[in-house]
Amino acid sequence: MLGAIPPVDLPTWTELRLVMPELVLTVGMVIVLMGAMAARGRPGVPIVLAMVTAIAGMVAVGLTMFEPAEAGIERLIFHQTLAIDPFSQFFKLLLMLTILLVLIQWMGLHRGQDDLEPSDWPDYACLLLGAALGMSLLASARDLLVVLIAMETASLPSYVLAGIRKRRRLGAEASMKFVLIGAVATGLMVYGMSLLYGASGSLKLDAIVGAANDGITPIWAVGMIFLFTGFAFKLSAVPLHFWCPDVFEGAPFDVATFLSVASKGAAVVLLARMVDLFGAYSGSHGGEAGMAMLLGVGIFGAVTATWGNLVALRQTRIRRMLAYSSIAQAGYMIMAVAALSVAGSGHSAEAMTAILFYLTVYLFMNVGAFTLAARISAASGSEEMSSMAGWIHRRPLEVVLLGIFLLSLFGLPTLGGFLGKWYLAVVMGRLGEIGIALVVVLLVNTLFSLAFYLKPLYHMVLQPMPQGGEAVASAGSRSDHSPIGLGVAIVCAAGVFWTGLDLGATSLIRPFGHTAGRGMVETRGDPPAAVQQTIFDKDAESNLRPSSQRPGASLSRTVEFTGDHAPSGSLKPSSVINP
Amino acid sequence: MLLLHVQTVGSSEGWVTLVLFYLFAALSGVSAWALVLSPNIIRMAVYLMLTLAGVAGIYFLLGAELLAAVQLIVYVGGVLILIIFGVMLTSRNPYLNVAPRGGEMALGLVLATVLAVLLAVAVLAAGLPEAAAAAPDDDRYAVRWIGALLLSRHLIAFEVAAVILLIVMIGAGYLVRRRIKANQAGATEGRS
Repeated sequence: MLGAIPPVDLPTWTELRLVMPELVLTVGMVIVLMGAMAARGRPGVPIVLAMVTAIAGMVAVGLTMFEPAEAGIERLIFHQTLAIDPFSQFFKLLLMLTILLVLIQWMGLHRGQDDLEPSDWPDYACLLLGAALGMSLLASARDLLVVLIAMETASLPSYVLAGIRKRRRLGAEASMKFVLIGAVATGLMVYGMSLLYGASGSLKLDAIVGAANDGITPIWAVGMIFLFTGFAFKLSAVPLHFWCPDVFEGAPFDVATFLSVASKGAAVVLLARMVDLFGAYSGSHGGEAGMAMLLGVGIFGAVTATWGNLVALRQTRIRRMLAYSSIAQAGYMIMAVAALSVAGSGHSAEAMTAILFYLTVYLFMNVGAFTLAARISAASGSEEMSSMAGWIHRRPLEVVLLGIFLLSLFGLPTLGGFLGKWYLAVVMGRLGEIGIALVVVLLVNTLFSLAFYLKPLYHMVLQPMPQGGEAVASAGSRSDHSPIGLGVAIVCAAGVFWTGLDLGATSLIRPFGHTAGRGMVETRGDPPAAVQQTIFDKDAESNLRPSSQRPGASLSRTVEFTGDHAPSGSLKPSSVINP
Repeated sequence: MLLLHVQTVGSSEGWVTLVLFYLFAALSGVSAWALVLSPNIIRMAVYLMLTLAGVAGIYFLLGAELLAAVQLIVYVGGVLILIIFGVMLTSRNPYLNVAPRGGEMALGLVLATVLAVLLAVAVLAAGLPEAAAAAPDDDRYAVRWIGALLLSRHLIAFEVAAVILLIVMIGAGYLVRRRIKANQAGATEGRS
């Protein structure tokens, strides 16, 4: 029996208010297109409109950000398919900031260059906003269908953006590789989702991870591995990282910046949410499931970081070097995500904070490094590091700023990268022996990475400028003189110092990490102070099968939360599972 | 395992369903093999059609009429025709040979075997609930249910799918658009 057909219900005002950032992005896309039509002679209008959208998005995130934080819970809206918690909202703030910086960087790079016709600018802006919409949903997804749709919304425009310089062979090749690897990864992911649905009988992430409670079945494990394959593609984590350097090289610098920061960030947030939910369920049993997940994700991250660093050393072109560096950086974050799989350690809040902090730092240092690499390679006419010899004399400010970003990526104390890695290491260190092993991997990798982060600086500072270098330098395209790109770099440098010297950065980010949590409260009807509800019985999906066979039927969860802000770790609502 | 599954599905007309299931399964399986082994790209497309049609038949047997219809319309109809058109329009010689080299073949075989064993173990050990895949017999309008779910439980996914279509349209439009001639662009866009 199917039971009653569910009523088609309209979203409530609360729900609409909480998805405001996504609505802003969607409306922004339409406005960009319409603005392009309305203001024909002025091609800059759509770009400005896209920037306004990003700023409006930030405001929208700001408005939705603090409300759940006050209640100390996350909001599960649209039948628990989206989670609007401070963790996701903070990422969305970073995302909007990234779009804004990328657009500004784009203005500095492309004006007057031949890559993109002015008639193509609205398309570019629209694709950027569309990809951002997908990433924003990815950060909030609590349901496999939303994960899939959001992943596609983020990926499809990225494929086009990667090949946006469609008259260049390299761009077309990059885009093609991206599409093919993406299609395979998505196919595997969907297959994994179908296995997980078969194993758990639900599309909800919490029900799926909850299905591992009675022990991990082979079908669940295979499904989970396939699902993580899809995540790994977005993260450009090691078995599926091949697209990353090629795409970064074939795409314009601004697209590479966007993909390296926003796309990876969204995937890290999604992975963190998934593993955190897993930790909340399995951790209370402290069984081997948590250990398996810890080992799996930890090794996954360690291999990614090590491989990225090893290959980065061999690169001679600055952009490929930065691409492999971003693979390694993603690996560091994945290693910290592993800490979430054992909630028994009670440090998931700290881990969340550390991940958010690292994402913030990563945004600043990566956007900065890419911006300056773009300017310097545009000015020198080549991306080979050896061709940038002696640039300290030519462009001292830019080289010094690039040095700051590269050393921050390495993790020099007083710069953001150091504190970020420190927090990651602290989180990992609490995991016992595996954690210590992860810390060692992080440390060795960090020391090793110094070798290639110093390489461009060695060429620019210590090598003499070749004869005739002046002529090359002045022959660079005029875009590299624009102060706009430099402005982005200076803002990013300020960000790196702000986080590195810890001028309030940690205390700002901590509440967002700490309230990321496991509370299970629907917004339909205001949540009372203590809520007891059985989620699975209300789930229409599971009505599709007889109740005796529903895996979730035996689970009744008691959720309690208090509204007051308790210090670290104890703020998130405690969830008790009675099997 | 398979027998059990099929019997559950077709509890009313046992053996007809069983025969049909093996028919469709054999159609899918054999043509999938032929697809992989054939060196001719057009033949591959035809074998792909048979595979997809066989899967659609299995969907019908499982009582998922909508899914089967979508499979037929979208995959057998749309995607396949698109593939054939794509091949015919883009390659100089549509009867191109795309036989893999020996090394590729061996690697593919190893990977496929590992995957097949992995999946077989996983599915056989799963003990899927018997009624998990079957739609109930007494409601002939499962489509109505899917529609209602799309507008309630999965509203977000449904709405965002619309946005995906918009983005994909913009992206495709961008990729196929010809370059505007430089002088024309200068005149209309006010470029210096």
